[in-house]
Amino acid sequence: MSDYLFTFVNGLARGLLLFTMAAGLSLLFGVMRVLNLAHGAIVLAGGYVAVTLTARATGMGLIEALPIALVVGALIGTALYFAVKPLLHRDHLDQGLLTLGFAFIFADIAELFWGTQVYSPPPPDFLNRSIELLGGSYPLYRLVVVGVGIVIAVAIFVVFERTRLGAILRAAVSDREMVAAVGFRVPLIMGGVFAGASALAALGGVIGAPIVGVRLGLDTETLILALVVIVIGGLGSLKGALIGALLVGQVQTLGILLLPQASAFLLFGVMAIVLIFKPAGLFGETVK
Amino acid sequence: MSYVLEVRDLHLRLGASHIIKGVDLTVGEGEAVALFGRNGVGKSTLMHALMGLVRASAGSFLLSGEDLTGKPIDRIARAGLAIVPQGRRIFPTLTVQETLTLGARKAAGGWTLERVYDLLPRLAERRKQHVGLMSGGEQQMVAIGRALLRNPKLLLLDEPSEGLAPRIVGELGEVMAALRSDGLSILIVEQNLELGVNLADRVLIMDMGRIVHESPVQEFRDDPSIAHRHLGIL
Ligand SMILES: Nc1ncnc2c1ncn2[C@@H]1O[C@H](COP(=O)(O)OP(=O)(O)OP(=O)(O)O)[C@@H](O)[C@H]1O
Ligand SMILES: [Mg+2]
Repeated sequence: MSDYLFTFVNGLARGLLLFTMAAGLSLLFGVMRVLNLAHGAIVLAGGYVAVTLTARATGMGLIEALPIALVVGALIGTALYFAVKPLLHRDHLDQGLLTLGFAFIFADIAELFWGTQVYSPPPPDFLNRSIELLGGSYPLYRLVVVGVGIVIAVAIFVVFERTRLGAILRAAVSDREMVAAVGFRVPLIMGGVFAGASALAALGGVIGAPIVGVRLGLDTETLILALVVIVIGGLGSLKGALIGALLVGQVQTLGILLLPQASAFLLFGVMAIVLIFKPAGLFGETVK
Repeated sequence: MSYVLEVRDLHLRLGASHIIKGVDLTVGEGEAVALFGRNGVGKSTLMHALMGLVRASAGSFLLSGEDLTGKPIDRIARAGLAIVPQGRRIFPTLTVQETLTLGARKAAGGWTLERVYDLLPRLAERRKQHVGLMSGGEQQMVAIGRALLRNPKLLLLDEPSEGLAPRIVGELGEVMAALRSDGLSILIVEQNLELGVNLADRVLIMDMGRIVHESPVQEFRDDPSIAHRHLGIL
């Protein structure tokens, strides 16, 4: 029994991490209609920030890496915004190709600095132990990831649904021209969304670093998972991204436990089933 | 009379089609002007060009003397133009109050949230409701409130009565009369001639991208042949 429970908690941790990463991607698509295929690279950049700060003789831990990764993510996001800006009125293929190009460049640069090995930065000391949970022993850090993931998810929803900033973003999702017509500088909003989404992605990279292992390839893996999440949830829907992320988290961990040979197919199988019944995703509106 | 809006020889081409073919028009301070015309003659396109939603190909327009030709939408909005667009274009996932306060600008003696709720009491009752779930008439009121809270120098209304039940159109007429007596300058496009005529001081008629008739509202009212000739109405 506790096997299943631990698998469930593992899946929950994965799902919540995935939401932190996918929320930004979804918002970018919703507000800007931009498909940012460099999003996974930013997650990996966050991971390398964690690796670098905890490994070198900086005396820093994962917690100190958090704000730095946020800033690094926001800066990368801002730069990306200016790079993508000339293509905002082009179609998704053009934007996808450009951002994919950036992702490749980032991967090459990352290989120069960090090589191809897998890094597992340690959790903060006070969390680096296991606790008794229902007769088993479970890594405390994973439970904390679940807690932090819940806090981040709630924070994202509170901002989006209950604040003025959120109202501006929701309005921009439905009609950017009318947002401009009531006086807002839409480019500023879009740059801000790019920065915020990327900061969230980098944050996810740091928090996940001790669990998932920071390595080349994590960028594409994360990107694909995040894309699956927002396709299942419905492009541009945050609620959909949350449900999608939690679902993918469970499918991944349960799949490995129950059907290890088929676990890779399971994920895309679930996506296919969702799309057969809801072509626009669980919470997607039909794209106009 | 000083002009709040001056449009000079405005042209607009979209691809191969020449949609606005040299429009001149003015709206005076505190004046209401009705723009009539058959479907597809370019009325909305003209409104969109003024708001910056599409870019004019040639010509210019000034708001209170300030040249806004070619400026971005938000710049034009901040200069004092507000639009209630055709089809309303409300934000469905925002509540009434979120929509109204989104772009609200203070102005001495101008529109406040309270005044808008007084004018449109139905919105006050539903301030927490998502606009996407409201009726067409209510959504139109939200779109009007959203524009009013910008405290614009000139309000553009593009077919506000479109798709509304007759009773709601009556209410709309009362609301617009209240805006008028408040001294707001208005440029309104309407297919409902009665609504436009009741509001306006002056009538313009557009056909094939040109202004083909201009007169005080009284003249338009007294001479049915004008509407007959240009709008095909008996
Ligand atoms: N994006 C576009 N590209 C090409 N042609 C367009 C575009 N938008 C509008 N048109 C054309 O421009 C003309 C004017 O359209 P517009 O919407 O301004 O008419 P309107 O007078 O507002 O009509 P209605 O009374 O039906 O609202 C129409 O012939 C329309 O087909
Ligand atoms: Mg029109």
